[in-house]
Amino acid sequence: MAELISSLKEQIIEQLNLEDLTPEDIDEKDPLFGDGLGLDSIDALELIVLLEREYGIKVENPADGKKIFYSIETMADFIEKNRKK
Amino acid sequence: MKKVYVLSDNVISPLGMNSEENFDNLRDGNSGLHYLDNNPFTTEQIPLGSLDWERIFNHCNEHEIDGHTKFDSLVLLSLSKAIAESNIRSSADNVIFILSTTKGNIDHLGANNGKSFLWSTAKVIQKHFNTAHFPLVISNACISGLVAINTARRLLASGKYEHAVVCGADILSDFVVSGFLSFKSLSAEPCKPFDAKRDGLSLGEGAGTIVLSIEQPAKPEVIEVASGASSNDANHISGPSRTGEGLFLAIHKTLASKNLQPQYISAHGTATPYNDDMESRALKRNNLENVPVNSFKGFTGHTLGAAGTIETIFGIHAMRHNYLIRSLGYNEFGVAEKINIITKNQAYKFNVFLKVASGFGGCNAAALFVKHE
Amino acid sequence: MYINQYVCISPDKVTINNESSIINEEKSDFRVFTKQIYRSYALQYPKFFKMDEHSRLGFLAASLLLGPEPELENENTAMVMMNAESTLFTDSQYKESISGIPSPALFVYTLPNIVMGEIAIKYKFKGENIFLVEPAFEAQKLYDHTSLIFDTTPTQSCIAGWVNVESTKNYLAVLYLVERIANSQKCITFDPTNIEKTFQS
Repeated sequence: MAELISSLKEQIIEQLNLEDLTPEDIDEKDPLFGDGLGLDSIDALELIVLLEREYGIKVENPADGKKIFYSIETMADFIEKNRKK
Repeated sequence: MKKVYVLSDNVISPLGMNSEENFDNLRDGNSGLHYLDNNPFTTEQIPLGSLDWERIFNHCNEHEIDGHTKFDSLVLLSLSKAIAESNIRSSADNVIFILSTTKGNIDHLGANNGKSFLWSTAKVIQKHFNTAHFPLVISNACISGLVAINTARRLLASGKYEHAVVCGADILSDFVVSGFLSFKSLSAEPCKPFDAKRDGLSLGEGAGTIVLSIEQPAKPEVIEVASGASSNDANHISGPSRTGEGLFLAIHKTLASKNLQPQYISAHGTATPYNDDMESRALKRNNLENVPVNSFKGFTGHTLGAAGTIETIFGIHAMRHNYLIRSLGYNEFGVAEKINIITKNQAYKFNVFLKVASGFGGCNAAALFVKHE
Repeated sequence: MYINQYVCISPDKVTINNESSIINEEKSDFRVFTKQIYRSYALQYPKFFKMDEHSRLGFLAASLLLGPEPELENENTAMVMMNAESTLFTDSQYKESISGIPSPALFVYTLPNIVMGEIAIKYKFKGENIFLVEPAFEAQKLYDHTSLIFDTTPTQSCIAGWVNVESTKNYLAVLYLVERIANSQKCITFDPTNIEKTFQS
């Protein structure tokens, strides 16, 4: 799980072009949207792309994203339970 | 400033090859949105407002338009039909052509034939009609059509030209369909503008041409292009402002300059959850919540760069016929502010009509049309 | 109308009112050079890195043109921009992504007016917007479309210019702050001759 969280941080920084951030800057419990990293609706869609490309998980309804992408920790949980890669 | 009038128009859409055929289908409630048997753009089950290309190319032959790309053929055909009814001389020095499109010949991207430049279509128009000036190309997301109409009005009103031929057009493509799918903003069913169960837009393709002039046409009814404006939400590049700020301002500027109250509104009404809420808020902020309003996108789908011109022409024909078309796809109220959505076709005498549009990049536009009898 | 400021960003250098500001000594490609410019001016705008080349270029040019807090009437500040490529560079990148999983973040930037949206978001500009696509830059056309906006609307200021990305080695942004009132020592009349003189390519 720790390894997954660590890779996720790097993948998110790359996928979302979070140029000035390093994995150390992101706490896995911090909210990704709203006040936390300040991600927006396009970022949410890109995270859906990330899940499919890296882990083979298809999220059909973007509304499900709110729970899944709450934090890196919730993302990692979801991936562990649903990954196909 | 001179007054600007509508001389003629043409619509080629999933509802037909000319404005009259289109309006007949609007009146009969016939939607142009269908599930294609062999959808060339995606395996997803989504309805599309696609054109009858066989019929288009047949008409092109009759108008001596051949050897052109799909998009260029569509544009040339719509222009030809509209110009034929206007009696203007397309090569005259006092005529300006304006093309409005978001992606032009995007199906030629990567083909290395120069076609993917949006101005390549302007070159084709210049050559075909022997235009005196290089046609303008406006590419402003989904408000392009209204920006083109507003620009034409300003050019004529300020005396730069005497006639303007404005064509808004866009075609379906892998590029655009996949893009909207990646946004998860396409409905699996024909779109339902303003409806409580709306869940996304439907894409369409088409061309709408409107010929404007400082000369009044010799008709019993004259349609004046009275005013118009654009404004930016300054909020987000793909989601509309929750308060409808930009659309509120565009409408406000359009109406304030004329001190006229619209009696019918053709909304942008894409049927995405956010757009329709935003529009209802913008209308309410402008005190327009009781004005009959519809969206035409349930009929044609969202035709992107063509939407502003096609839907303006539909609204003008409704005004000529004193007739309101119901907002197809709407059943149950479902937007943030209570607005007066047209639920059935009806006779209705009116002289002032407002067209609005919003687009990616936070842009919004409005234009006001007045009928003089 | 007057040009109160103008900025030019090309692969070689950045100039402001025709004075050299940053030179691309390493002859770096687009992303490296523009990041250098971003950092030199301490722009502090993380969303910059989500933008495509076309929006990065126009956004940078506008940021250098206007500074952090320009004194402009937001509702009456317009934008008139033009280019030849539209967003073909980004279009090609998006098209490549279709063969894998299409990228929504790329797709949203495949419209040339998005750059005006990004500038509007930073500065809260709510005035008229228009983006035109022409085969090549012509001073007369920029003059015509900008003066049309001033003549027919209540616009007080306009960010007008050319933002064009052909490749990571071939790009150009020239933006003018055009206003009804002259308010800088270095201002010049906004007319086709002065546009021609100041436009560097």
